[in-house]
Amino acid sequence: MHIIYHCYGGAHSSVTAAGIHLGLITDETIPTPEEILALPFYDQPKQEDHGYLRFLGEDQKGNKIYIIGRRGLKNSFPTLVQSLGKLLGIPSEELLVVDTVPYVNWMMVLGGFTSRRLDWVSLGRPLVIRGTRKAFKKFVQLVHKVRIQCEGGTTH
Amino acid sequence: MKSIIFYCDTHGKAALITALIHLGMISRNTTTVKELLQLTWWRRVAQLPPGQLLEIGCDQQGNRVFILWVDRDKQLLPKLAVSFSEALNKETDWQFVDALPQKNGWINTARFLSAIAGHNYLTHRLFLQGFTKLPATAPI
Repeated sequence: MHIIYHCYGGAHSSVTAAGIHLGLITDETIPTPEEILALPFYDQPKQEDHGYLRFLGEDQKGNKIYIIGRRGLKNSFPTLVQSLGKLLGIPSEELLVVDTVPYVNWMMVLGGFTSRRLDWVSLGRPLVIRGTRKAFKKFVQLVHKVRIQCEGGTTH
Repeated sequence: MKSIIFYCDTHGKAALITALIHLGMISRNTTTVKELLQLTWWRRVAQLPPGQLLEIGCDQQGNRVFILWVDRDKQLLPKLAVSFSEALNKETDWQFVDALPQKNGWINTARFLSAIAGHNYLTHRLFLQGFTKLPATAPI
């Protein structure tokens, strides 16, 4: 199964959720700022990277995990992925599109904007990391739901 | 055989007209607003959700022609499609064509009115009027 975590910029919430899913970061305790920053692509993508689907790895069950910054395509994104998948011959049940934005808090929004859009990394990065730590349990719950969903999807 | 996908951010209007021009069903230089208004495709396009592909036909080279529209950030579509096929290791031959690379006052007015009052006959007509007044530099 192909699991795509998507958010506005593909730099924080989708990366965190994908990192949890792949076990790159422990989901039992709140990670340290260094552990969060060590996640691949965390607080790295810039505007020109938006729209690129990135493969992050395979989980223990062989599901392929991707991240993307889809900007304002939010409402059309799941339909778009299914449409492109159909054209590529990928069955719709093999694609799972997960929006991570509902779990983002104001610190992540403000910190992410300051770091990525304004390029004030020294100001924005600590704030977005703090926000990520605060929202971490919600991302863990989301990933837990996704794992259950894909188990159900693959047993059909 | 490849897939040609005309995309826009105008609820499929620009994508449909450009696709029909590509297919030779209408002419960019001679088609009038009245003729465009009479196209039977509009009903189907009005029901097309954003992000959904709609196949319009096959061109003379045998290429499949689709249309696609999104609310905003349409410039991401080619990047998304290419990276999608690469990331999933699927070889494909598709070409994404921006159906409305330029706009004019008619089109901007139609978009503004659509945003505040929704889609209706007036905004549809204004858009088509604007489209026919664009310079003949369609990307097809």
